[in-house]
Amino acid sequence: MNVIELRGIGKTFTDRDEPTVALQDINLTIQTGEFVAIIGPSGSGKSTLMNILGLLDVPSEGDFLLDGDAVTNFSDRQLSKLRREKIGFVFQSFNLLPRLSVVQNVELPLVYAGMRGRDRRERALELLKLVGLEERAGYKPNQISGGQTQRVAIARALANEPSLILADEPTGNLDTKSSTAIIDELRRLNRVTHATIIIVTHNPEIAEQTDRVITVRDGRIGSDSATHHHAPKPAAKRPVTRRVTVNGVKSRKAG
Amino acid sequence: MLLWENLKMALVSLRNAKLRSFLTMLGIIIGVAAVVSILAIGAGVKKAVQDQITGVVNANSIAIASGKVGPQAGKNGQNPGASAAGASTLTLKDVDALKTVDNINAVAPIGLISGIVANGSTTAGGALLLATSPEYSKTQTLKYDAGRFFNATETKKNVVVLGGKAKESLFGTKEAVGQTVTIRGQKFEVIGALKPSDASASALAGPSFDDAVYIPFDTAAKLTGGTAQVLRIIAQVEDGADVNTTADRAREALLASHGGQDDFSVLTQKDILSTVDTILNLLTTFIVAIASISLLVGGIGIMNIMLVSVTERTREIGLRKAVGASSTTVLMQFLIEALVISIIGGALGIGAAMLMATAAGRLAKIEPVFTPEAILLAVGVSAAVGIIFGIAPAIKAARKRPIQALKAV
Repeated sequence: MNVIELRGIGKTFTDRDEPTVALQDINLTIQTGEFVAIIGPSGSGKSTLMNILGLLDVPSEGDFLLDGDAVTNFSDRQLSKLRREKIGFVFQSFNLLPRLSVVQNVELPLVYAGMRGRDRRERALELLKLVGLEERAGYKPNQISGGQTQRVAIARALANEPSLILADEPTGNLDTKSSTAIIDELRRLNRVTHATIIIVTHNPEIAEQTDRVITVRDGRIGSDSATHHHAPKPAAKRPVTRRVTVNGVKSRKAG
Repeated sequence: MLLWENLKMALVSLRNAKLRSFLTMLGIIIGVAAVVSILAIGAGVKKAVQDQITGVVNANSIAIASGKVGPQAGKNGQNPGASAAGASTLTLKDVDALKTVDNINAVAPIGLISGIVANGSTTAGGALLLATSPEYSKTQTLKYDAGRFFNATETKKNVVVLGGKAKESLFGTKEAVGQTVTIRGQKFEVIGALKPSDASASALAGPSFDDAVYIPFDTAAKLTGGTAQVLRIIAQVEDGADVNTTADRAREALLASHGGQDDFSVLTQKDILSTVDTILNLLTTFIVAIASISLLVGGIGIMNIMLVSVTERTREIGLRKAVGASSTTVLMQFLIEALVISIIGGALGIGAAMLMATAAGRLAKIEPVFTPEAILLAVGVSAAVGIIFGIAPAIKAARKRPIQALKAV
């Protein structure tokens, strides 16, 4: 069962001086319950891809089927419904509301899902317990450490029991110990709840801990360990030196 | 349900930014306070003047004045100033003519004399010396502290009835009836003293009849060495009769008495009230217009703060959308925040207005009147201002795609 199907997805940013092509010709299929890492250098378009997958942005071209629905044509109302029911997004920079307490932050998706106050509080505290932060429930985001903030963000992403969890560089600003803890937690979620989990990272060590690694380069998919597909390397732009033999003499010639 | 949650979120947001919320509100508070207090003082002045008038010219009264005054001012080319202050066109003959009109059961002339009323060395400051006939007591509801009005046998005698304030000035708390006062040097016997009335003198309405001192008309003529002028005639219409019809008949009677010259005004209480109304309304409108400028400035202040606030909170908007809020929900939140600020600001403004108006009123001896219309107007306008200026930037932000909003600095 394909939870995600991307066909010919492209994204061009026109709000700058020159149009910038961030993604082009993306074709991708991800099945329910997969644990995937998307890896690529800075500026490769991986975050843009993630934003499209998380319905935070719309593609300039192509089709996106989420659980079989063509979401590229969805209205704002339909999209927001999907965001709160199906998707849990962990952002790169933690994006907690600074004026709300930790537990109020975790409750936020539940507010928009229409859950009642008491039930909400109960569930939010459960989630904080899951990530080991129930004692910080009343703290403000500026009163806890970076690693703790990230765990709160994860707790919030899980609030509505999403079937698709997207994490954009979840361990980017963390130390090794915290990073490992988070990846372990995500894997555990994947195994236990069969949620589809996609992580974006630039760190190959993190990527290795997942089941499938997709590389993104220059706005295209470079390789996909699921299909063992390797895209042909783009044409070389720099002159290549070749060894040539001319008249029995070995020398180098620019070609 | 979500509305309730939005309201709670709005209150939390406002509480978390107390200083900014208060500064935003300040514009509305000042604007509403200014407008409401001015309207209240204006209404208070109007009421004070109206009470003055209805105290003398009750609903069943007709007042006749010389020349063209009040609603008819300037008619027939008669100069309103001269009509009001010049030598009167009314005579005692007119009083007799009016007595014959159907449904009129009392007619009294009123003349104004200048002079000093004194008890020994104590003078009644600001006392209004009125010359009238015994029938005057039938045209008014006079409340007596002691004694009575003069009767038909005393029309040429030196008798005087003191108004409440005059009695106090001259005799304090002592008995006045039976005592002697001097008016223009001549001795007069006090035969009656009235209770002080509620209608107090004010800078606007002029001296009240509480300050008055009443002597018989013919006696006054003697004092002034000639026939005293009939400044006004007051006539009382029978209960149940139509005042307007009677006023028309009075007009006809006076026309006849004046040989066809329409050089007088016949005024009912309504006529007098409407003149006062017009003048005071004009004044109030003018001042409110000026005060409304402050409301406008308040609105601009709100707009600035809202713009800053929304720009700062664009990221927040993006985040809320990312966790499942729809654009409508986000807009509702900002709308409610703007409304809450406006309503709280409006309420505080009204409170401030009540304090200010009461204080000002105490200084000017006017009781402010707070009408529901004024309050509704002020709150309505401030709410509208808050919403309009607060929503426009929020709409812009709510339309952005979540990632665009999140990327905003």
